Amino acid sequence: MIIGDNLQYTEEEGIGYLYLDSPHGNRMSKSVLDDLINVFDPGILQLNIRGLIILGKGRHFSSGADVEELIQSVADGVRMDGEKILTYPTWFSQLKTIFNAVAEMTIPVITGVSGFCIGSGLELALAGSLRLCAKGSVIGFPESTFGLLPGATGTYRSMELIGMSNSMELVLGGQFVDAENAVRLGLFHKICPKKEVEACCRKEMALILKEHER
Amino acid sequence: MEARKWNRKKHSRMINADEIHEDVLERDLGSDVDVIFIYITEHRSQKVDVDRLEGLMTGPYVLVGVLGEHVGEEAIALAAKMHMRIALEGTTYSVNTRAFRELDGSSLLMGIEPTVMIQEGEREIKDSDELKEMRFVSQVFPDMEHEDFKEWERDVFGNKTHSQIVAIKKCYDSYRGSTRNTKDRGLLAMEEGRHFCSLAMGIYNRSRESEKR
Repeated sequence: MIIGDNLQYTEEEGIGYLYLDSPHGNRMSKSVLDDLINVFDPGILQLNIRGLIILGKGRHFSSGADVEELIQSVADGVRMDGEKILTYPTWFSQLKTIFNAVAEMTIPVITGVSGFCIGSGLELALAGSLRLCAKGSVIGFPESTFGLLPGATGTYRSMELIGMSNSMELVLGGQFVDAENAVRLGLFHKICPKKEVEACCRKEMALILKEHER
Repeated sequence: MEARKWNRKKHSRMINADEIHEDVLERDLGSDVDVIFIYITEHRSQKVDVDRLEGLMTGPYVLVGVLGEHVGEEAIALAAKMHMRIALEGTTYSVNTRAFRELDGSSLLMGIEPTVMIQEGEREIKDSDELKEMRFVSQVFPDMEHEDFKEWERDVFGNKTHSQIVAIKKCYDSYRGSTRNTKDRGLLAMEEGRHFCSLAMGIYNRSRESEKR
């Protein structure tokens, strides 16, 4: 099933498979973010599935947001009084809610990444309860190098996962880490071979569900 | 090692932990300071002016604890108050169960189980690399004059605006305070959303102003 212009969703034996499938290495354009909001709210959150696997089609999980488009979308939706924010753009609030909802789903959610997994793509990936990354993955929050910060749960979630010192270095520095360091830090749980991300996710899901059914 | 001998960057200051008192703060901190490195040893951490430290923590700076020589419980507790922690090579750490709990309770290691378990009541000596492996510190450097440290400082703090560094710092301060009271992720992520939109609007407005010119 194709959802919007940028996502594919299928179900097999009670497991949901959500694929990012958008141009430019699954760039998180506003259109992708809108599709994510539409698929999760209420969509997948109310489906009767036993587990969810989130993957990227092609070489990259996600090459992050288009920064100019992102800033324009904030400017179009935010209401301010001087420097004080009165209301957030609706899509931005919804996106944060969705990422948090994924993190709190009562079924196992496995995210499997390869290639680039950066910015809001990483924010989505970190919402998974089990996170796998392919060897050779490039992982990070480059927002600070554009004058921003990860604003849709990434700052908080990275601290939750890897502690304040390492999280602040990741967020403030905006540097990328490789798969080995991502696992060492605790951002991801396991490394898998580059072309076997989906197979590894399926295997892990089967193990988790088997364990649950005991 | 004395902080005064360290090479100071334009927007950073280096202070020995036992020098966090009025004279040093007034002399060394200007409005352009983004980051303060605080050199922590067990000996120095026992002489810290806690009130002054609290004042420093609420200031518009990122505090980086630099662990050196030998550190134990007092130093670990002081380091736990910092936003970031790094260590110098050759540092030894005497760690016991209580010190682990202290770090965990400060929310600095949320979600992280210690990779090395220490038996109740026992004490172990760790070196700086082991502490990095355990994620107590994020980096280990030979010394503060080493090129690796300078490069790291440039990577993390260079090319960032003061307002951006302060925004990121405030997010972490907010988490540190809030996580003791709530596990609501929506509430916890509010601070970063607010700062993200503010920074984005700052970029947008500056871009419009420059277009007008």
